[in-house]
Amino acid sequence: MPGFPSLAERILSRKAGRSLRAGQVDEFEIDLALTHEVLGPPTFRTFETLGVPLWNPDRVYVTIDHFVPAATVAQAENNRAIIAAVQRHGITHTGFYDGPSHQTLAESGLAGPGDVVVGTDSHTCTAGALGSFATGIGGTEMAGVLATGKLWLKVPHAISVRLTGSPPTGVSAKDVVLHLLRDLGMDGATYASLEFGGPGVRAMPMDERLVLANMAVELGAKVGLVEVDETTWRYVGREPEPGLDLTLHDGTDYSRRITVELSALEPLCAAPHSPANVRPVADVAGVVIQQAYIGSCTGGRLTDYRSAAQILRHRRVASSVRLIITPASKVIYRAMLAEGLLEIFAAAGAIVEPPGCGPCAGLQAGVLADGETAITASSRNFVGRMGSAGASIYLASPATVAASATTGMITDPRGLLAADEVLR
Amino acid sequence: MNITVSGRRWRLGDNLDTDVLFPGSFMTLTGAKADVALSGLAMLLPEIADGFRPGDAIVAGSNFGCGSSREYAAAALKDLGISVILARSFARIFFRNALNIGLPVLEIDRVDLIPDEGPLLVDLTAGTVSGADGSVATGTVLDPFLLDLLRDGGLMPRLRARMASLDTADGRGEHA
Repeated sequence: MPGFPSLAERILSRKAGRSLRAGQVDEFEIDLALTHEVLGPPTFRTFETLGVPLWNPDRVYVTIDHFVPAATVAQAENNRAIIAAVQRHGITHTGFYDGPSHQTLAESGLAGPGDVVVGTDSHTCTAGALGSFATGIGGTEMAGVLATGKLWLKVPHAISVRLTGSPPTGVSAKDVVLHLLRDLGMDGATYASLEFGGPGVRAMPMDERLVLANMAVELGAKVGLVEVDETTWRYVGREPEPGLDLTLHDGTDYSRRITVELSALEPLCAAPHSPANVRPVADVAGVVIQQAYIGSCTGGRLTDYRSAAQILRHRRVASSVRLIITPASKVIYRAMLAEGLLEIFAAAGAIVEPPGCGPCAGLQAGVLADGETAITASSRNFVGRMGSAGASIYLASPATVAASATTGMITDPRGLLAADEVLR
Repeated sequence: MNITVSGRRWRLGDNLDTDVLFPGSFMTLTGAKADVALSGLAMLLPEIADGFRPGDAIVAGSNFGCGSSREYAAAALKDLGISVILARSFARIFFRNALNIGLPVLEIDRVDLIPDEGPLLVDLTAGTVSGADGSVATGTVLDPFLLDLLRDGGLMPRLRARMASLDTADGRGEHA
């Protein structure tokens, strides 16, 4: 007797109109296809060799988010090429220079529970926080999607991650993902649907849920699905769909069940050169840094900046450090302005750059020199990711990054937060 | 579907990422470049810079091609002339990208059984790698759907053929 279907099985079965289980292959209609100025131009070039019209210009979302604003002539040419492609095909949904596609897509209401979303970007899985079966694909596959509106997918097996309790001060969703990376490794969820649920998830704001789904790909997962509740429906601006139950079920045959007690977590960081090279921040405290970065589709949301501002409110960025901030959308940028967060960052001496992917992928202002060390709230610390192959990158939560920026060395944020508590 | 590898086997470890294979700074309109992948690989295997010859194979550990979705990483390896990538496992987007552009890949659990000397016969249909010394390493047989995709030369040649046959069937002729 097979168990109750996983979230992935439920979404894909509903889409296919027949009951599908893990391991089965089928062709699926795509609800939304995402591409951007980096991988979009070659994708459109490949698609156009087929000589057919675009399947549905209202189901494609195109952004300019990595080359914002263009830093080289070659980047500017990519931006022109993607704008031209959007015009040629009459594509209606765009996010030009608005912030990382994964955040602007989440804000757009274009993706929601039960949808199948594909994008030419590995962090497309971020939309799993909205209850969408969302995954990254390559340019050639996307060319096929643009032509046919369909893609073959194998239904993944599922791993459940139940969060219980509530996180202590100084610990956030980023630490939860780093904890999972420490336990599972970079291929611990290869091919799987990583399904998050439990009271710890339901208590999280959407900002934090998006972090869990976003870094599912760092664990090798195909999708990172977060169970759907009122927070989800409200965030996507849709009426709850009767009969669409996307909550974790005890009777599901998960290939692995993980429980994380949030109150037991501490601030973590991934040391060079792998996101799975995880250790407590306390173990690497004192490593001298030259750059600190809070931004990207992983770490540039309002919740992230509120926690960073808590540290930076009465402190200054160390003179030996450049702290770079790139909000994950213009909506977030304006909210930061309204809440006084930008004032706090400016007073602390941070460098605030426009909403975009920022220095995360080594493409924009904030590349690292040979021998430099950075701590970042983004998602990858591979060799050469942020510039020189001779640089070292530590991944951590926005609170840890902010704390480290003020001292000039990797610092556990709990010490600074406790000091503030005493002084209050 | 068989591939004969007479060239060298370049051995790599686990978790080879796409930032090494194709750094972000090269992702512009000029497209995949074999030398980008070669210099990335040379960071791990300095010898490959001068020693690589088209037809050589990569033998790697687990999670090959993890990280970004950039198809440039797979395309650059294909441009370089890699005949086949044999790895303990692949990151899923890289795996799909490779097959979609017609670059053969095969999951082999015991990559240590693959000999470094003498010709290799890679049988994608059977999922085996046979060495001249009589050794046989067994892997995961590719799904028939994916084998067909490789036979067609990848997704684009397949879609072109499919669209051409649709055109013939409904008498509309070539698309403009």
